[in-house]
Order: sequence, then C-alpha cells, then structure tokens
Amino acid sequence: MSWFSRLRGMLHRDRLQADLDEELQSHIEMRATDNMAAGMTPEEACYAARRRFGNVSLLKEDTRAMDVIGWLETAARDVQYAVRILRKSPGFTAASVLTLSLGIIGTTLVLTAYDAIALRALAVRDTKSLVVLKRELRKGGVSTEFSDREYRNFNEHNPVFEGAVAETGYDTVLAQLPDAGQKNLVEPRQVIIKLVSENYFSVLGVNAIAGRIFTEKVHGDAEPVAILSYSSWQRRFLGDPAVLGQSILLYGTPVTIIGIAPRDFIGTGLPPIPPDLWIPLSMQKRIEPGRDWVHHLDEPRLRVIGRLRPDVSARQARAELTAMAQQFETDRGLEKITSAINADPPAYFIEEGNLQFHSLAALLMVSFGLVLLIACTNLANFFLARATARRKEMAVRRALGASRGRLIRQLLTEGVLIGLVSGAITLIASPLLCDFIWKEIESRIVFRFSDLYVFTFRFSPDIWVLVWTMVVSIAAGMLFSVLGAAHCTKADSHGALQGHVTQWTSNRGKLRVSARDVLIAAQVVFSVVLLVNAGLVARGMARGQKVFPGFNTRQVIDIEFADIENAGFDRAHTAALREQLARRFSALPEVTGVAFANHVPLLGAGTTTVTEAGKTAEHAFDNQISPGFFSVFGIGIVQGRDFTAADAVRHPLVVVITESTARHLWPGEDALGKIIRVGDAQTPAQVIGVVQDTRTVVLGKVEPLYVYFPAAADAPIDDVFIRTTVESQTAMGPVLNATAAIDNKLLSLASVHPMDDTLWFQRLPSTIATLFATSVGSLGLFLASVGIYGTIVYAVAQRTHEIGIRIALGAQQGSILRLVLIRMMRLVGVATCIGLALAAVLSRALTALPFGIGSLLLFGVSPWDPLVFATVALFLAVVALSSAYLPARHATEVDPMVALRYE
Amino acid sequence: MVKAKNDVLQGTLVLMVLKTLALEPMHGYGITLHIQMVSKNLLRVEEGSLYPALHRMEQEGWISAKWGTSENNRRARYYQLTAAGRKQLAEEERNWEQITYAVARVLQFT
Repeated sequence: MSWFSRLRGMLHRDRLQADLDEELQSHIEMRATDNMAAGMTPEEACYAARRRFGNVSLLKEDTRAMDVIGWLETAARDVQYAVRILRKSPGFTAASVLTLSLGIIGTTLVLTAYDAIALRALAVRDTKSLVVLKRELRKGGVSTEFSDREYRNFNEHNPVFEGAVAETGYDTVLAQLPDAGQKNLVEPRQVIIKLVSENYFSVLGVNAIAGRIFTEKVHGDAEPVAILSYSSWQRRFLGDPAVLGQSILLYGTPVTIIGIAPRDFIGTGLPPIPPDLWIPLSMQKRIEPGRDWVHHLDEPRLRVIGRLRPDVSARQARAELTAMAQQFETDRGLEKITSAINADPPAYFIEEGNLQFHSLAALLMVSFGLVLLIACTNLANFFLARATARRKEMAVRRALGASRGRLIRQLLTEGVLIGLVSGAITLIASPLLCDFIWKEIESRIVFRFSDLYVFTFRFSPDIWVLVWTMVVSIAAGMLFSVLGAAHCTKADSHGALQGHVTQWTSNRGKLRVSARDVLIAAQVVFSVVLLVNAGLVARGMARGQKVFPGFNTRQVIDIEFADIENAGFDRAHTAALREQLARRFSALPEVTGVAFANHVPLLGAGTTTVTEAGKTAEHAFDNQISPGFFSVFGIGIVQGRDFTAADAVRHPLVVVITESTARHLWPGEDALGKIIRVGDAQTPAQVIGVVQDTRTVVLGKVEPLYVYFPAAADAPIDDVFIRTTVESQTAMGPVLNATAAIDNKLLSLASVHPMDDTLWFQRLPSTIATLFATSVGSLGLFLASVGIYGTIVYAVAQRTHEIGIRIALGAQQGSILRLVLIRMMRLVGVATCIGLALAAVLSRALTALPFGIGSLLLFGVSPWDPLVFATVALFLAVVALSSAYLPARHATEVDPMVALRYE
Repeated sequence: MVKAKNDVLQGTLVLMVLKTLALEPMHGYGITLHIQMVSKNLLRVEEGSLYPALHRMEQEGWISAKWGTSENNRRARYYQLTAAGRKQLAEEERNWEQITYAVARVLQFT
C-alpha cells in the first residue's frame, strides 16, 4: 500500500501539495478563531497560531518527504553524476562502448536476419487463417502437389475453407517486352511467370495498387491477361504507370497487363521470389502452346493454399480434408496414395521444421556469442582497471561517510549508461549492416546466378531483437561495473588513502590468483577457442575452394529440356530428335563435343545397386550417358573404352565404372571384362571401361561406387552437354539459335546454364562459410588482441611500484624482467592449454553437426589440425609476451625514487 | 521540535492519535485539542510532529482522510481510523502496557 500511494503521490504532487497547504491553513485559522474567542486580538491570535507551527515550510517538506520515492531521486542524481564522470574520461567511455557494441552486434545481426528470413509473414490479409496443403503418401514422404481436379474439389465443396487458391511452381518463358518508353518490342528475354487460380488475389485479400485483380469470371478463351509484380514493374518498366493495358508477347501470344501487385506482395511460393507475372490457370494453353498440361487434369502440379473458415481449427480441417481427399480418390477410381492431408501455416521462406537452417543459425549464434564473451572480458578488464585507479577517490568518500552500497550503486549507474549507449548504437547499426550485407550478397551471388531472381528482405529489428540487445548490453554493463566497484570500495580505506597499491607479496611457493589474473586467463581461453575454430573452418573452406571436381566445367554448357514429352515430342520421335540435336550442335563452329545424360554432374545422380559375385548388394550412384560424355567433360579413360552407339542395344548390358569402383570391387585385379549385377533385377553387366574418379554428387568426397550406363537411343532427353571452344556466354546465342532452328517449341523448353556456374553454385556454401569464418575470426582477433594487450600492459604497469622497490633494494633489471615475464607467461600458458582443450572439444562437436554441415565446413581438415592449433597458440603467446615485455622494461628503467613515491 | 518535558510524546504520538481517532473522526486541530484537553494540558502536541506523523499513518493505511466541513463551516480534512488502524491501535496499546509494567517493576525494586 505504501509504495503505491507513494507512486501516486509523485504523480499528483502539485495537487497534494495544494491540499496540504489548505489543510494547514485551515488548522491555523481554527486555532486563531479559538484564540480570539479566548480574548486575543486578531493579529495576536493569528500570530500565536502560526508560531505554534514553527517552520511551516520545513513542516511541509517533512510531511511530503514521505511521498517521494527515495531511490528514484537519488537515481536521477546518480545518472547526472555518472554522465559527468564519463564525459571526463572519454577514452575509457569510448573504448568500453566500442568493445561492447562490437561484441553484441554479431548476435544482433544474426537475430535480425533470422527474424527477417524465418519469422516473417506473408503480405496477405489475415495470414493466420491460411494453410498450405500437404499430402502424406502411404508409401512414405510428403507431396505438396495436387491435380487440377483435386484442387477444384477442395475449392468447391468444402465446409472448412472459405476459399482455396492454387498456384504452379515458377516457370520461365520467353517474352518480348515493350521497351520502357519506346513501345518497341525488344529481344526476347526470359521472364518468370506463375499460373494461379482465378480467385488467387481475391481469396488472399491482395488488391492491386493499380488496375485490377483477376475476376472469377475470367476463362480460358478470353484474351490472356496478367498481373505484374511490383519489383518487375520497377525493374523492367521503371515504374512507368503507362504499362497498364499494354501487351507483352509470351511466346508470341499477346498478354495484357491488367494490374500491378502491391510492393510487399511477392507471392506465396517458396523460395520467396516474386514472379514477373501472375497469369490465370485457365489461360495456360494460350501462353505455352504445345504444353497443355492443365487439361491433364489428374496430374499433380498445383500447390494449394486454403483459407479456413473462422470457426474451423487446423485439426478439424486436417480431418475433413483427409476424408475429402480419400473420398475423391475412391470416387474417381484413382490410385489410393493419400494417407492424410496436412494443413500447415504458410511460411515466408524457411519452414518451421527446417532443421538444417536452424542448426546453421544456431552455429552462427554460438560463434558470435563467443565474440561477445571476448568483448565482455575486455569490458571487465576496462572496468577493473578504472576502478583500481579510482580507489583513492572511493576511500575518501567512504571516509566521509558514504556507505559501500551507495558507492557501488553509483558506479553501477555508470555501467548501465555504457550499456545503454552500446545497445542503442548496435540497434541503429544492425539493420543498416544487414541491408548492406544483403545487397552485397544479391549483387555478387544472386544476380550472378541469374538476374531473374529477386529476393526481398526487409531487415528491421523487431521487438525481441530490441529486448535481447538492450538486456544483454545493460546486463554486461551492470555486471562488470559491479565487479569493479566491489573491488575498489573494499574497506581498506587507510591503505588506499595513503596511496598504496594492491598487495604485491612474493609469489614464490604460493599460488596467488587475483581477479585480474582470472580475467586475463578468461580472455585467452575465449580467444583461443574462437580463433582455433574460425581457423579450422577457414582452412577447410580454402581447401574446398581448390577442389577439382574431376571433370572440366569450363566451356561446357548444359541445356536442360523440361517436360519434353508433354510438349508433344513423344517417345517415338525422341531418337530422331536426339540425332537432330547432336547433328545441329556439332555443326556449329564453336562446338567440339555433344553428349546426353540424364543427370547433371554436381546436381545429382541416380542410384542403383551393384552386386559382385557372391557378395551382398551395395548402393552405387549411376548416370545414363551417351557416347562422347567423357570427352565433353574431360574425364580420362583409364582402361578400356567409351560407349559406342551400338552399346545401347547390346546384350549383355555393358557398363563403365570409375577407378574407385574398380578398386573397391576387385582390389588389385584388372576390372575389364568382369561381370557385375546391377539393379533390383540383378541384371548382369560387363565392364568395358574404367574412367577417372569424379566428385559428382558432393564436392566433399569421391563416390565410392559409380556406374555409367549407356543411354538408349530413344531415352527421354533430359540434359544435353556441349563442349565449346569459346567462353560459355559467347556460345549461348548460337546454341539457342540452333535449338530454335529445329523447332521453335524446343526453345521454350530449354534452359541453358554454363557448367561453370553450376560448379560455382556448388561451391557457394563454402565461399560464404569462408567469408563468415574470416569475418568472425577477424573480429575476434581484433577484440582479443586489443583486450589481452591492454590488460597485460595495465597489469604489469601496476607493478611499477613494486619493481621500483626491488631495484632500490638491489635487484638487477634482467632478473626482474624474468620474474615479471615468467609469471605472465605461466598464466597465459595455462590459459592457452585450457583454451586449446576446449577448442578441440568444440571442433569435434562441429564435425558431429547434423546434415553434414560439419564435414561441409571442415572439408576434410582434421578437427584437431595441428597447424591451426599451433598457429593460434603461437600468436597469442607473441601478443602476451610483447604486451608484458614493454611495460616491464619501462618499469625497470624508471628512477626508483620516482617509482617509490608515486603510484 | 518537541519540548524536553514532552520527550515521551514522540514515541507515543502515533498511539495517542490512533486512540483519539478511535473515538470519532477528527481533523488535525481537533486531535491536538483533544489530547491537550484529556491530558489536562500536560501533553501538548506540536504541529510540527503531528502532520508528518498523520501523513505516515495515512501511508501505512492505519487512517484514511476525507475533506469535510468543520464546526465553523470551514473546509477541513477529517481523519478516521481504518480496520488496519484498529488492529495497530490494539497492538500499540499492548506494547505500551508491557513497557510501563516493565519500567514500574524496575522502579519498585528496592
């Protein structure tokens, strides 16, 4: 009760003051009245009444004094004092604030980025009622694709949904856009489109910022329309509002732009890339002539998102939808593949269950957490040093009657202020940094890979990041200032007043560890752990960069044909098509080799089983290739020969295997001519060739078992590889033209990638990891060196007094130096050993990370690589030695009389 | 602020004010009059100590205050005892009796 009314008292201060005035006034008047009744004159009466009160203003103050919350007023005074003191020592303040900011900014960055990537919501109306449908298959696994008929079933007869929308995946098509401002059509270029159901925008609750959205009545025979995304509008049309109503040619068909989507709306696909255009599903046939898959109504192609009715829970929805789906399968006599339908909330980028992402994020947090720890130990040292310097001041104040608690509270205020300022700086800097980093990533990585894709992330600190940053920085400030304060306000006032420094008795035979020693040790330990691990990762990544995949990627182009069968090129014509392609491409002057395969090296491989006579079946990777594959990729044939056209139909089956496979199956023997059994059917196959090893599945290691099969002449065409004499970029044009020359439709199906880009993309994680390890390592290095240096210098300088006495007593400079240095090196040595041990534990744990992140990071470097460990230990030893030597030397050269007299 | 003769008043002021208010609600002036009168002018409450004490008691929740009109139609602040105050009064009375009993015993010892 009392504190509450005190609080109220503070708020209604003025009114209560007036009340009290009135009350006292009426008291005086009443007494005066009585006095007059007793016979005094009015003046005497008033005077007597007033006199009884004594000092009225003092009385008022005393009364009101109980209302004030004492600690708040003193706190305000503390803050003022602290600000003054901190301003007077700008070096200390700046160093502390900088250290703490650097320490905490890493973690804040990670949290901001995590929030922007993983926790962001879709920019649609009421995301909470939206769910994405996923089908759980009876045979295991999950599929997110539904057929058109199924979608309509969900949309039309559904008690749990207000409405459901469907969308396809991203599709790239060739478009001719009117040149911005010129109205002339330019070279066809690729755009990304997404086909969506007619009610897509209305159910999602997204309105066009210009023009209109699709109406439900739009149907397949009307003129094709599309909605333009905001980013595309800005990039391709430079924000020109006249784009509304204009037509774009997609594969020669005019499509009218009827609306522009809002800026925040990037669609509902994963990854969150806004397509250039959204087009109604019913117009698919018009857009992509020759590919009429929408009318393959039972083929699963569509991703379905539904909006739950307000009174329906997700669980209810799941049950209902599962029943509907299974009923649908029964009704239409389809294969019963559905065991359940899940309805999960849509994710912006990373789905909740994505462990890989989350463990990566955790790793980042831990690394930056270590940096924070190093920064904190630096901070502790700063505060401790400063506190020691102020011992005299504290002693004086204690002698004058200040309580220890009061002094500590005041020093605490300084720490809190420093924490506040650091936190504020970090909060301002981190979204700016995030933006900068993302723009760098975009320009160097995303756009290099394809200038079609536009990710949008908005980095702005959300409330949790704010809380985290402020809490940690204020807590750090408080904690370390308290430590310093506790140290310097110790009750040894007499000694401190006289200017004596902390005890310096001899350490021989005794293990005396002071707080400062502990701090130095802590700094060394954290630094070692961080630097060793960063070094290991950096080394691993450097190694990863140099890995040669075993095949040539320069000047090799990969043309991928998607869904060629659905486009009207059926099986019967495939053989002819293959031959045509090979002929046309080879005819080009730039081309030196053409090959087909059904898997792209570095992007995947098939799997099969290999059984050697008598042994158990083992898993192997495989690829089906045409003759010439090995020469296109520069894979050397070690034994035997390449495939010929005749091999495709030969009986028994022939295969080519890699060196590792040969060594594994027949160690020490010649593999040529041997028979293995492949596949579930255990088909016998004869080895006719052995080729060099390649790393085609993961760059990290060579596959132990890899088998090449000859592709049948009429096998579906997946990828064509072309080796050129010129750079891939230059060759793309002629290659595309050659494709178009065979059949224009083919062009729409082709996507062309230089193999170099694929390799570069595979190396990307390691590139990023190197960058990261280097930056964390550098930050840690900087903080660690500065911290260790500063602390040791100060610690040794504190002993100047003692050293002066020793010299005065006759000690030699050399022996003193030895004394100081040996002690310091012993401390640093012990700390380094502890640090190395901890680092080894952590690096071992790194390799155990799930999903091979660990092995990806370390890339074959041993987690206990002696080179890295030794380098870090050596480096820290040098830093420690040099920081101890100079001040020690300086101290021995000071005139002993001076050293004795002053601190 | 307190006269030497009335030293004891400081410690017992709260007790006496509570007792006074137990009789009926009163304003500050009324309380001083009452105590003075009942103690036959032996105890004189100084306003300088009364008001701070009243305020503290109000903070503790032993008394509550309300504005009202006094006998001569003047606005005055009336204090009255609360339930908590009643309990406090009983406790302080008990304490007082114990102390006086103890002191009396010491004085009676020969």
